Formats: sequence, C-alpha cells, structure tokens
Amino acid sequence: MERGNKKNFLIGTLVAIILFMAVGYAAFASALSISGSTSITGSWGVEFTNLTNSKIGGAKEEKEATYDATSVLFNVELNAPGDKMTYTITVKNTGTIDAKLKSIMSSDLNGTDPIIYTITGIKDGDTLKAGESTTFNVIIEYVYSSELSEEIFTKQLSLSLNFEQAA
Amino acid sequence: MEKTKDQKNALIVVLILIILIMSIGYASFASALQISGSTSIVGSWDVKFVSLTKSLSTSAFEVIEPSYDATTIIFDVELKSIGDHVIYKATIKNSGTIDAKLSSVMAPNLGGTDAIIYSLSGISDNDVLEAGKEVEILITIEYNSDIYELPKETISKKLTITFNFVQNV
Repeated sequence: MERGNKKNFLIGTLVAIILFMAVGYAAFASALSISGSTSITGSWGVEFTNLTNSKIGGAKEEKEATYDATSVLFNVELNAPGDKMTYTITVKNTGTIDAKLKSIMSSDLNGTDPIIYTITGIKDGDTLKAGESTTFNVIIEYVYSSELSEEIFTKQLSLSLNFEQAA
Repeated sequence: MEKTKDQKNALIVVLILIILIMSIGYASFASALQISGSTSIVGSWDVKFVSLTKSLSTSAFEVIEPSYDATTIIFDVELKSIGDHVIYKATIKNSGTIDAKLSSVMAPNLGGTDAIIYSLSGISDNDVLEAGKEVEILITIEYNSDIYELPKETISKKLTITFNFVQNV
C-alpha cells in the first residue's frame, strides 16, 4: 500500500510537472500576427489610337486603311517611281504602367526592291510612359531604278511592335 | 500511403496554380501590335509609234513602202529634181500610265547643206508626253534647192533619229 501511494505521488508529480511545463511554455510563447490587405490597381494597355495618311505622286489606296487597338491594315497602289504613301500612326499607353518598345520585328523593311517599306519616329528601347502617346510613320515608296517594272509587282509588309513593361 | 498520395496530389495542383498565376501576370504586361499590308506597282511604261502617213512631191518616189512598228520607222526614197521632197508624219503615243519626257533627240544627219537635207519638226528636247497623250512629228526629206552644183552621180544619205524618252519626274 505504501508503495502504491508512492506511485500515485510520482504520477501526480509528473502530471504537475507536465502541466507546469505546458503553462510555462505557453507563457514563453506569444503568437504575433500581421494582417493586412493588398490590391493591384495598375493596368496595362498599349494600343493604336489614330491613323492618317499622306500621298505623293500617283500613290493611292486600293482599300482604305483600317486600324483597331492592336492592328493596322493597308492596301496601296503605286504607279510610277517616286510615288509614296506615308501612314502616320499614333500609339498610346492607356494603362498606368510605363511601357518600353522592346523590339520592332519585320523582315520586309528597307531592302532593294522597287517597293521599299521604312519606319521612322520610333525605335527599339523607346519608352512610352503611362498616359502618353507617340506617333510614327510607315513609309511605302516606289524607288527610282534604271528599269521600270513592266508587270505588276507586289510586296507585303508584316511588322510587329513588341511593347513590355518598362523596368 | 493513401494519405501521402493525396498530399502529393494536392501539392502538385497548388504548384500548377502558382505557375499559371505567374504566367498570366507576365502576359498582362506585354503587347504585340501588328502592322500589315500589301503594296502593288500598277504603273506601265509604253511610248511608241502608232501611225505613219506621207506626202510626196511630184517626182519623188518611195523605193520601198515605209514601215513602222512600236519603236522604229523605216523608209527609202528617191528624189530626182531640185525641190523634191517627201514628208513623213509619224504619231508618237504614250500608251502607258507614267508621264514621259523626251530627254534627247539624237540625229547626226539632220540639217546641213548637202544635196539631201533631213529636217525634224513637231518635237524637241524636254517635251513632256503625258500618259495617254499623242504628239505628231514631221520628218522632211528634200532635195536642197539651194545647192550650187548638181551631183554628177547618184548620191545617197542615210538618216537615223533616236528619240530618248524617260519618266517625267
């Protein structure tokens, strides 16, 4: 019986120790919390907003050029060397994030054909800040050469302006 | 084992979602604007002879009937008496869509004081021949009436006239 009491005492002591440790641990522990709320309010938007043209010589539009936010489409006829059609295009940063022209990609610019496409007023690395606009020209020209084309000659243009966030 | 497998599946789904969210986030900050189109050259160049008529004095005659095509006129005439003449009237037309200009006329045998005199009228250097328009020129072949001494034998004289047309700029 004596022995049994000792055991009970031991058990009770151990439980007490555990409880004390638990409380002690709890006393030495604090839960710190940080809470808050974050919203993304910035918006991205770079788009074409205007298109005009000017002509020299016998240049004319086979179809009226059209545009929307992300594309411009034209169809031009040139009659004689020296004829030129210039499209003036406006691109605007309608978002709240500054943009940068990462690259102009086209394999149809310049060259030595009777028809030459050139782009002026914009170049790789140009920055377009939020809310701002810029205009550039796409020039289509029938260049002078020693021989006049004796048959209809057609040349396509596919050009991509790649904008990304300005760092 | 089943629980571990479920946990792994859940982790995979979460990772995929994270990647998707990151991709969408990047794509939202880049734009590719396209400019495309087509350009055609439709103009044509076509300056040529389109007609030939003649008038002859009484004793002049043609050895061969004159002929012409788009780029050449050929004649062969004989003059017997002083004052004999043959006049060829040729029409040059710009049948193309590009205005032309006569940059030069090369004719080393025009004028002079020989027994046979060639002359040209109706056109001169730098004349413009607009697209669709025509011009008439006169080539006059005459036995020089001012010649001092009549030739004692048959003489002949050739004529070559080259009209150089270029685009009128």
